Amino acid sequence: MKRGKFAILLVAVLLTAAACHYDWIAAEAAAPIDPDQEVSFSATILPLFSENCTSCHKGGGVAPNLTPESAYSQISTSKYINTGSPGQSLIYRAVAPGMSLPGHKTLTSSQAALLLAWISQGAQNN
Amino acid sequence: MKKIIIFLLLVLPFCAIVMAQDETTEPEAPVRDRPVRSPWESGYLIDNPTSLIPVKNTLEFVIQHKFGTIENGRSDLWGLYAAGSNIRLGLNYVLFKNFQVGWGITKKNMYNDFSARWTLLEQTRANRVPVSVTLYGVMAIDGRSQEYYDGMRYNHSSDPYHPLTTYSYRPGQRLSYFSQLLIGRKFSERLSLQAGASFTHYNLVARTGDHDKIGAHLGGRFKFSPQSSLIFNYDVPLKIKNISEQREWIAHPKENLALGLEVSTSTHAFQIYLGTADGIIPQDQMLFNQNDWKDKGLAVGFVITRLWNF
Ligand code: HEC
Repeated sequence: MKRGKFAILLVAVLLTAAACHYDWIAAEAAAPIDPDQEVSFSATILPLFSENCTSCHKGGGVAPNLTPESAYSQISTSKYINTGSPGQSLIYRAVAPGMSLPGHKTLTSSQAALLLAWISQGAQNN
Repeated sequence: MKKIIIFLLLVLPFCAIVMAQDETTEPEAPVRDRPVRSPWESGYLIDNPTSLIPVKNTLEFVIQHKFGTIENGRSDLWGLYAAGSNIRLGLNYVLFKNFQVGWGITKKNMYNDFSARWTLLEQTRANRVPVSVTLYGVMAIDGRSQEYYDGMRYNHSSDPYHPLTTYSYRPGQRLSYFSQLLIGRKFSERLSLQAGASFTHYNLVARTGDHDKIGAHLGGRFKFSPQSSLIFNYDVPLKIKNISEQREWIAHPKENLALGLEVSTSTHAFQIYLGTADGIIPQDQMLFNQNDWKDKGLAVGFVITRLWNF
C-alpha cells in the first residue's frame, strides 16, 4: 500500500513537471524564415537600415551610425550584438515589434526576423 | 525559482490524493466536536467550488450553462438566444471522506477537465475549528481539432515576439492547470463566506498574454428562507508584475462578478445568476475573461446539480 501511494505521487509529480511549457502562438504576419537560408549583411541588412534608420542614425546624428560606410563597424560590438542570445541584441531589441525602445521606430515582424536571423548566423559582414 | 514555485503550486492538489488516502485508513478519532451542518447547499457556488463534499460514494451530475451577454437587449432576448453560449456537463464522485474527483466537458474549446477537491479541515460546531479549508485542482485539455492547432505556428522561446517561429506543435500545448486554496466560514444560519487564492497556468498563450496568473476569490451566500439564498462570486486575476511576461497590461483578464439565487433540496441545487465570465472552467475564467461587468459584459447562467448515493 505504501508503495502504491508513492507511485501515485510520483506519477502525479512527473506528469505535472513534464507537462509544463511556456509556449506562445506566434505572429501570423511574420514570414517564416528558413534557418538554412543565409541572410546577407550587404544585400539585406544595409538596405533595411538605409530605408528605415539612417534618417536619424547617420554621421553627426544619433548613435549608432547606420549608413552603409560605417554601419558594420559601428554595431559589431557586444553592446549592440549578442550572438550567444541573438534576441537580446540591442540592435534587434531597439526595433523589434512589441519590444522596441519607447517611442522609437519599429520594424515589421518580417523585417525584424531578417535582422534576428542575420545575428543568429553570426552577424557577419557578408 | 519561479519554476519551483509553480511546480509546488501545481503539485499541491495532487498530493492531496495521497494524503486523503492516508486519512481514511486511520481509525476514527472519538467524536467530540462535530462539523457544522450544511455550511453550503452544494459543492458549487456559481463558478467556484465550496468546502461541502457529500458523503463517500456519492455521484454528482452537474450542468453549468452560460448564455450570451445581455448587451443586445430584446433582439436576442437578453442573450438567451445569442450564439455565444457555453455549457459544461460534469460528473463528480466522492472517493473518500471529504475527497472528490471530477470530470467534465465544456463547449468552449472542448475542454476536458479533470479535478480533485479535498476539504482537509471542516469548521466545527463548538468552534474548535473556526473555518473550513479546501484544496481544489483542475487539469484541462483543450480538445479542439488537430486542424485548429496545425493552422498556427509556435514559438517556444521566452520572448513572445521572437520572430524565428519555425517551431512546431507539441501535445502539451493543450494543457492548462488551476489550483486553489479556499477558506470558508459559516457565520450564522444565514451567512456563509469564503475567500481563496488561486494559481493558473496555461502551456500555450497568445503573444500578448501571460502563462501564469495568481487570482483572489471571494464568495458567499445569504439564506433568506429554508431553501433559498442569495449567492455571489467575485474572482480577480491579479496584476503582478513579477510573474508577468508582458511589459504592459494588454488585454489583461477582467474580474468575474456573479450574483444569483439558489434553491436547493437535499439532492438538488439550482442556481441562477447574472455573471461576467463566458468561460466555465476556472483557469479559462482567470486567464481569458474579457467581459467587463461594468460595461454590459453580464450574462445569465445557471448551475444544476443532482446527487445519487450508492
Ligand atoms: C526618427 C528617428 C529614428 C529612427 C528612424 C531610428 N532611430 Fe534608433 N534611435 C533614435 C533615437 C533618438 C535614439 C536614442 C534615444 C533612445 O534611446 O530612445 C535611438 C536609439 C537607438 C538605439 C539604441 C542606441 C544606444 O546606444 O542605446 C538603437 C540600437 C537604434 N536606435 C537602432 C535603430 C534602428 C536599427 C533603426 C532602423 C530600423 C532606428 N534606430 C531608427 C532615433 C531613431
